[in-house]
Amino acid sequence: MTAASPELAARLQELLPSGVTKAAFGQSWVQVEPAEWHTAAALARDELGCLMFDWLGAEDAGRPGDLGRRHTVLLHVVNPLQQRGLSVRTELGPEDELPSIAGVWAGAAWHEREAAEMFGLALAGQPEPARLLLPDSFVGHPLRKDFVLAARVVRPWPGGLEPGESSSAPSRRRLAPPGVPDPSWGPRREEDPR
Amino acid sequence: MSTEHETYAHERETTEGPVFTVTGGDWDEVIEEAAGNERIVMNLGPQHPSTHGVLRLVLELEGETVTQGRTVIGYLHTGIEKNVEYRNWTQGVTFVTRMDYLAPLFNEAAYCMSVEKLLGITVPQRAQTARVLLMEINRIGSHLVALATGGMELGALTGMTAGFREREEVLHLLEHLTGLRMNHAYIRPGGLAQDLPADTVQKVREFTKLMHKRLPDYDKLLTGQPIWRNRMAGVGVLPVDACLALGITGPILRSAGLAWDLRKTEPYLGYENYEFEVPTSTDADCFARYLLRLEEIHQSLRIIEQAVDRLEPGPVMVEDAKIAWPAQLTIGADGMGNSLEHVRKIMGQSMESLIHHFKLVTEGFAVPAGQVYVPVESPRGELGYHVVSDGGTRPMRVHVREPSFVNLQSMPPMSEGGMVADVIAAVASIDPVMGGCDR
Repeated sequence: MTAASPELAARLQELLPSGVTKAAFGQSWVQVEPAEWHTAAALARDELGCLMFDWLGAEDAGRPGDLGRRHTVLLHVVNPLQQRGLSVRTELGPEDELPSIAGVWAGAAWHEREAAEMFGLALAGQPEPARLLLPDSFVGHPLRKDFVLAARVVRPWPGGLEPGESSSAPSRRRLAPPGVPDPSWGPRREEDPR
Repeated sequence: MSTEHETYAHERETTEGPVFTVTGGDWDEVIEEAAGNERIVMNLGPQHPSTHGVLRLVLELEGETVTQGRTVIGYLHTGIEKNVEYRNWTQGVTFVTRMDYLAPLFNEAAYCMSVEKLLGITVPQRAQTARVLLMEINRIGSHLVALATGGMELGALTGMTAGFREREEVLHLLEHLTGLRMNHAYIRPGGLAQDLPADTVQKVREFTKLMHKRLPDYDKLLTGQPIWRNRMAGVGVLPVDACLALGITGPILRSAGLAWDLRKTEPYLGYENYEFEVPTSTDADCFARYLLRLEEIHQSLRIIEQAVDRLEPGPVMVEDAKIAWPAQLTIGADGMGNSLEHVRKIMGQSMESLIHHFKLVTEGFAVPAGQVYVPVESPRGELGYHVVSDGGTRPMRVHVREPSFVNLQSMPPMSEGGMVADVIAAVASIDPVMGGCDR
């Protein structure tokens, strides 16, 4: 298998002229509009022979100054006979819904549910849109860039971060563990005089 | 209801109907109590010896036939994908190795290969061969646990003790080679954390010799045993088209007849130069998967023997001083750590080394912006890392295509329409590792 092969990306581009083919690090992908997401998936399976579902994932679209608002959704499927992979991407704005492709490949269902709960994406047409990994009581979407690791604020980091550091030396400014927001976010427990 | 019943099967009324809490040895009494209810919903786990870690199964039954099955996952969600975003590229290894705890070296290798692809570097030959060697040793250990826990779940307890006995040999060998039994963090972007010990070849040869002697025992103990075969043959069938639509890989896909093994279909680390076969079957059932795992152990031994022959002396880390970890590590009594001699030398003699060391350890190296997807064949199937860099010293996103997560979706099609006992056999043949599934 060639992951994200240029050959299949070129063929999808022919069938779907509105898509944009991009390549980097020897891997190619076709960028499509959210409205064409389902069409691209159906074309990949029926015309390009991508019978094998591989994975679907999401990430922050990574615009500087605009973190946590736009998200990229990635799909990788495989043509098992040609042993080639096809990568398709789309970008969702804060109001966009991701059309479900669980009807094209049943295996996409869990991946979509995971992406939805981790990034706060809205799914359209997902047969079982319930949470998958997170409990129902969980608030927020933990993989978003704007998600604050609140548990690390309210609970002091166990162990010493620096040699010689101890909680009995309040004069020394404590180093914040990774992922903990700056003091403007709110009070923390170690500052609480109780 | 008599007091005797209350000791075992506690019954309470809910809006959904009566709920029975079954603890042991009293299933017939529950059936008697619940007689008249055509539909029973049964919950297994998440703390249950036969659900393979913290996996929860919810089954809807008619009599003993499963009409609907669902898995409930997420009990071992650790947020590793998020954590990695706050660490530098090298520190990421210590996180990913903790995901699928039965295949730590596969996670390390796949993660490092994706980072190396972004960096555009090729690791030295000795490091590549060592990675193949370590991964195949790890594959044997993982398959042995699959046989052992699968045996335990089906009541073949001797199979469990045998499997864990041999797996202990695997862990001893890995401890000798990498310093730790698991969570090795031995494979690093750019190569290996340090060179293999001097007696590697001898130790690995002793191990392969022992495994060749012990493996036929499994055929004697399990393969020909009628109960073992009856519990698994024709059970948990998943044909090839269903495998493809669900994205199932690994022994499950190969048991359905497709010889799909990334070591052959997309060779990495020089796998194209090793002689080995990809065993397949067309039975698509639990017994076929058991046989394939056993055969894959034999094939892994073949690869290990070839890899150990090719282990030429040489560097195990790229030369690039901007990437290679400048510290020298040694294996001490408490595992792997900084070499005190090296620390003494750079502290006392070379200010530049000290500054360089400090920068690289605290900040890490920058990786060119972009994203790649690199898959490897783990014991459970395709394990892939989709790694995104924004050009900084920390990953922007690390998405893991985890075979346990993908493969678990096959539980309902494998078990619906079958018996309750067959669900256990089916889940055992999927061999999910919840640490990897939930991440």
